[in-house]
Amino acid sequence: MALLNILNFPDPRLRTKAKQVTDFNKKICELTDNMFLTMYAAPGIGLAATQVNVHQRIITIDISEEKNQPLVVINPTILEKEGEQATDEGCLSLPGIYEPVKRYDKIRLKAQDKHGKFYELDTEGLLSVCIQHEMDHLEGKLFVDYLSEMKRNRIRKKLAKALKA
Amino acid sequence: MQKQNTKKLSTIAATASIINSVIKNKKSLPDCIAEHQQKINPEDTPKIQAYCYNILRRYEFYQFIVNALLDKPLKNKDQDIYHLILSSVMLLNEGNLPAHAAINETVKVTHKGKKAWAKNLVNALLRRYQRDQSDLHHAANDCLVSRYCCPQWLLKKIQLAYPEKKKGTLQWQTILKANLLHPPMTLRVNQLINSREDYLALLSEKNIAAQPCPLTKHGILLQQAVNVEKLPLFTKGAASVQDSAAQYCAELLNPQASENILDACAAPGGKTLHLFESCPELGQLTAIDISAKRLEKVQQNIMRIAPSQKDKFTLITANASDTKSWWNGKQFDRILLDAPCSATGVIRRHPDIKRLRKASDINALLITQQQLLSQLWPTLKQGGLLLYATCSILPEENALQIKAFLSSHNDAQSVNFDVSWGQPCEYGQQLLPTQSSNDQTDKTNKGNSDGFYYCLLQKK
Repeated sequence: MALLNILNFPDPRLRTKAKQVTDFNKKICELTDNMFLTMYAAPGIGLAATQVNVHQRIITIDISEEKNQPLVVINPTILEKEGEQATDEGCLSLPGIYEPVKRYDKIRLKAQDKHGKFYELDTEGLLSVCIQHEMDHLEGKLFVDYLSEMKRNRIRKKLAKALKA
Repeated sequence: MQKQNTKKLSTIAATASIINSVIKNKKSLPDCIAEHQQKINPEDTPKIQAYCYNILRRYEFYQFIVNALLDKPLKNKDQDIYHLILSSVMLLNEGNLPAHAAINETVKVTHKGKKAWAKNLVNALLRRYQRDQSDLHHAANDCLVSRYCCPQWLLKKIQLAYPEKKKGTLQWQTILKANLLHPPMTLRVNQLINSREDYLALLSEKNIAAQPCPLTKHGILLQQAVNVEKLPLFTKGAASVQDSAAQYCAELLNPQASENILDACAAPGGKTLHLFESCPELGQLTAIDISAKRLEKVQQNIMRIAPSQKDKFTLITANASDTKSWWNGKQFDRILLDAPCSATGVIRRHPDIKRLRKASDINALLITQQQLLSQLWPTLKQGGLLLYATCSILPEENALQIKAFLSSHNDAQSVNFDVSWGQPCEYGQQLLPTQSSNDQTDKTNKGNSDGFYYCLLQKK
């Protein structure tokens, strides 16, 4: 097990579109284990493989306070969606930035676990937001893309400054 | 994704922020506290809640002081600083924190709130308050609005409605003083499950100090408020929280076996369930409320108190005065109309009412009440009874409202009832918010109740 390096905005590699996972081998299990380790250490509640420079459709999530409800989401698709909610989102690739983003309130998710087994999941609230946020990563999209140009520039400058210091 | 590591607010910062949102967004205090829940430490919540209630109870008083302290008014966008100062003045006056600690804590908040410029201002004003406290308090007590902490328009209305002297004090003064007091926590024992004596015994087993509530049949006064979860058999429906003033409703309407009953503005269902408890053999109980969300509370109460009898209840989300939308044409034997009102009788329980109600709201409420009365009247059987109730102390919503109704409805008459509580009006009985001594032998003891109004009408 090893901690992985998380890419930071505006790293262009974060814009890569991830590929479907077709071969569920030992490497996938190893990767998800490392992703959980990295995510818990950050600390974060969700991590997409894109953020650790692996461009496959793999996500790890755990929104519980006790860090005891790990969820592996591979090759996800949203089957149904309804409602709308806006919560302040943050991202491990943009440390310290929190901005409200509009998302679907409830989604029905279809995905595979780390062994390739299909499952469906009805979610709402934070978990639903987190899944949508991570699925954006797999498309090369970041939550700041939903903000205005002005806000995004300000965040870019803020992060650059923080990096220098 | 990363969850925002919400930095918890200090008690003073949270208090000021909650008060600011009550004033700015015109939202009720419980709603504002709920919105802040994530930003406060759970163990601080009771303290913050108490602070907020204290401030809203005496808002005009502290407002007078802060306005006197400020050389010039703060800008609109700096109302958060205004309420921070106001909260801190309350703490210095009523809190048990050492003054230097309270001031220090308040000054710190200006930094965290990104208003560091206000640091010196806050510090100077609070120190000035400490120095001139007694002069400022004298000045605040010279003005009626800040002395009784009541908005001018409401103060005028109460003065006009209650000008007489009773027991040596002007009645309006007694009312306004009572509005500043902490209300008691009162329970209604479910007579179907246990008697008042049984329940008092259960309470004393749990070391909850309590006594029978005078003038009520099933009321219990707790010496101190407790969380309902701590009450014995609460989830089984053995008791409910309800002010003593609201407990007279079931005995006045007095439902009988197999009767068809309507509760027109039912949520949260305290009185609905009381009607049922007083006569479980009643036929059908229709509970209407305009808010589906609040009607859920009625459902919860039914499931808590009468889960096996839930078929007797019909819950409808509707505007009760729009009878076309909900009424099946079957007339009711008895109707409880606990009408929407100014809530001026329950200010001691909900001090935020003083901030949220405007003089102009009253007229709209009067029209709603008129509509409810006249639209529900045809749904009542001949010989049937309608109990009109409000938690208002304003005559225009109560006895005057009934007087107008009677003058336009020849088939209606007011039924006299002989009770030992409240004071009689031309029509109906008015309860005023009172401060009672706990002396049980005191014959003049009117009980410790909210302000309430009841009038029983019969269809000829």
